[in-house]
Amino acid sequence: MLCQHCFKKNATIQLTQVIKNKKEKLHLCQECAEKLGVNKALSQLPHVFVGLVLDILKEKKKQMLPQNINQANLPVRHSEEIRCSYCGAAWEDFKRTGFLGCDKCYQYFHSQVEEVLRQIHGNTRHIGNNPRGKHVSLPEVDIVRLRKALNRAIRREEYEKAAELRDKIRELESKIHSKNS
Amino acid sequence: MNFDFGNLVCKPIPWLQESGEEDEIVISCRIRLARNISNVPFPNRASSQNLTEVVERVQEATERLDQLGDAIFLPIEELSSLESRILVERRLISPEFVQQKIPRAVAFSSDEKISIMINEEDHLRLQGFGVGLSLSTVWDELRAVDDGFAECLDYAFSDQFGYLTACPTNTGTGMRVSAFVHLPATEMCGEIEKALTKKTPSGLAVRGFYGEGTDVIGSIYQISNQLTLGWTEWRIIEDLIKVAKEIVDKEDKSRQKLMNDERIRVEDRVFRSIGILSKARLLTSKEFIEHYSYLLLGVNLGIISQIQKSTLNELMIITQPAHIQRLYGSSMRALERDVYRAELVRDKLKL
Repeated sequence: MLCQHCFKKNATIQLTQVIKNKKEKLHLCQECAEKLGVNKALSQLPHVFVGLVLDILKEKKKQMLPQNINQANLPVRHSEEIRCSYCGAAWEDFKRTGFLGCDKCYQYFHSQVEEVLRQIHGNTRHIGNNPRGKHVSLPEVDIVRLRKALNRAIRREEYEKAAELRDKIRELESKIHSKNS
Repeated sequence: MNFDFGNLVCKPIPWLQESGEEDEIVISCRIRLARNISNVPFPNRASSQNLTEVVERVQEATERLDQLGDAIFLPIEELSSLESRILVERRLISPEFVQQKIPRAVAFSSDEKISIMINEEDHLRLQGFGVGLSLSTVWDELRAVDDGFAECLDYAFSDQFGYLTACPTNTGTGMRVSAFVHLPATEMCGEIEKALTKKTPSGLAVRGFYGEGTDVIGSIYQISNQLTLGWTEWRIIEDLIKVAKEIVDKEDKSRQKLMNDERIRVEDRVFRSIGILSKARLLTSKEFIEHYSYLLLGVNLGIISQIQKSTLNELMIITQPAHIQRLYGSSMRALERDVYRAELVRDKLKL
C-alpha cells in the first residue's frame, strides 16, 4: 500500500487512533510519519513492550526515532523579527518547531500563545494544581464554589448567609470584569 | 558511577509483580508530569551550560527529597548505549531521551515506581508507574515527589496558563495519564472498533500499536488524555478511569461470552501459543508478544494453571533486546537474540 500522505513510497507504518470518537487509520511511510510527528505518538505507545516493539520496527529497517528534539541552534533569519527578550526565540521558530523557547515566551507572545492553547485545548485557563499551594484560587473557580454554596443556603432558607455569599460573588465578578477590560 | 546493570537486568520490574485494580485486563498505568525551571531556556533552546546547571540543580533536589528514598541518579552520557537501552526497556526513560548527546540525567527510585528524566523535551519529566488501574496510588506518590521538587526548584508557572512547557500541547497541568489495556477477547468477538469509539470525555484518545498487517500486536491498547489545560488533575484521572472501566467491562463480557460459546476456540489459541513458546528454537520479538498475549489470556481465564502471571510479566521485561544482550554477555545480531529469547522463554516457562 502506498503512503496516504506522499503517495510515493510504500506505507510501512499503520496508525489507528480514536480521538473525539472518530476512528482514523493512517498508512504512512517512515518519512511522512516522522514529518507528521506520528513517530512521537508511536514511540510513546509501546510502553509495556517498548524494547520488543522497537526491535520489530528496527527489523523492518525502520529508524522510527528521528532526532527531532535538536533545535538548539536555531538559525537567525531576519533581524527585524520580533523575538522573546529573554531567550531570543521568534514566533516563527515556534511555527517551525512546535516548541516555545522559555517560560517568558508565554508572556512575550501572550496573545499568540493564548490562541494556540485555545485551538489545542479549547481552553486558556488552568484550574489545576499550583506549585505554591495545593490548588490555584482563581476567581472563576471560587465563583463556581460560591454559587453552589449560595444555592444550598437558599434551599435551606439561610437568607442571611445567602446575602453574604451573593455579595462575595458580585465582588469577584467585578474583579474579573475589571481584569478583562 | 557504579550502578549494577547486571543485577538490574536479572530481575523483573518490581511494581509489575504487585497486584492492582482490574489487573486481569489493565496491564499497567502511568502518569507523567512535565515541569520546567523558571528563568532557564527550555532544553530545545538552552546552552550546554544551562543544561548542565539544570542537571546539577535537580540532582541536588533529588538528594534532599525524602519522597524518593535512596534514588539512583545516572548521567546519560556516562552510560553505554546498551545500558541506556536497558533503561528504555524498563520504561525509566523514553526512547527519544538517549538519541542526543546533550547534558541529561535520569533519577529513579529503587522500586522503579518513580523516574525523573532531566532535560528531555522539558527540564523535568516526572513519571509514576503502577500495575493495573492503580492510578490513584500512582498519583499520590507522584504528587508527593512533585510537591517536594516545587519546594526546592523554582517551577515555571503562570496563574493563567498553569505549568509552562516547551510544547503547548502539555501546558496547564503538564499531565499525561495512560493505561495499557489487554483486549484479546474484544478483538476475537470483532467488537474492538465499537469498544474504542465509545464516547470519550475530556479529550481522551485510545490507540493500538500496529506492526505489519492489520492486527494490533498483542491486543494491547493505550488510553490516554490529550488535553492538559482547563481540567483539574483529578478530573483528568477520573475521566480516564471511567473510560478504562467501560473498556474493561466490555472485555470482561467478551471473555465470558467466548468462554460460554466458543471455549474450544479460546483454548485452542492458548494451547497453540504454549506449544510454540515451549518448543520454539527461534523467537522474534513480534512472535513473543503475540503468544504472550494468549498465554496471559489463558492464565487470567483459568485455562492454564501451571504458569504464573508473575513469570509472564518477568518474561515481558527480560526478553527485550537490550536485556537479553546484557544477560547473555555481549552485543549480538537479531538472529542470535531470537535464539537466546527462545531459550530464556523455554527455561522460565518450564513446560
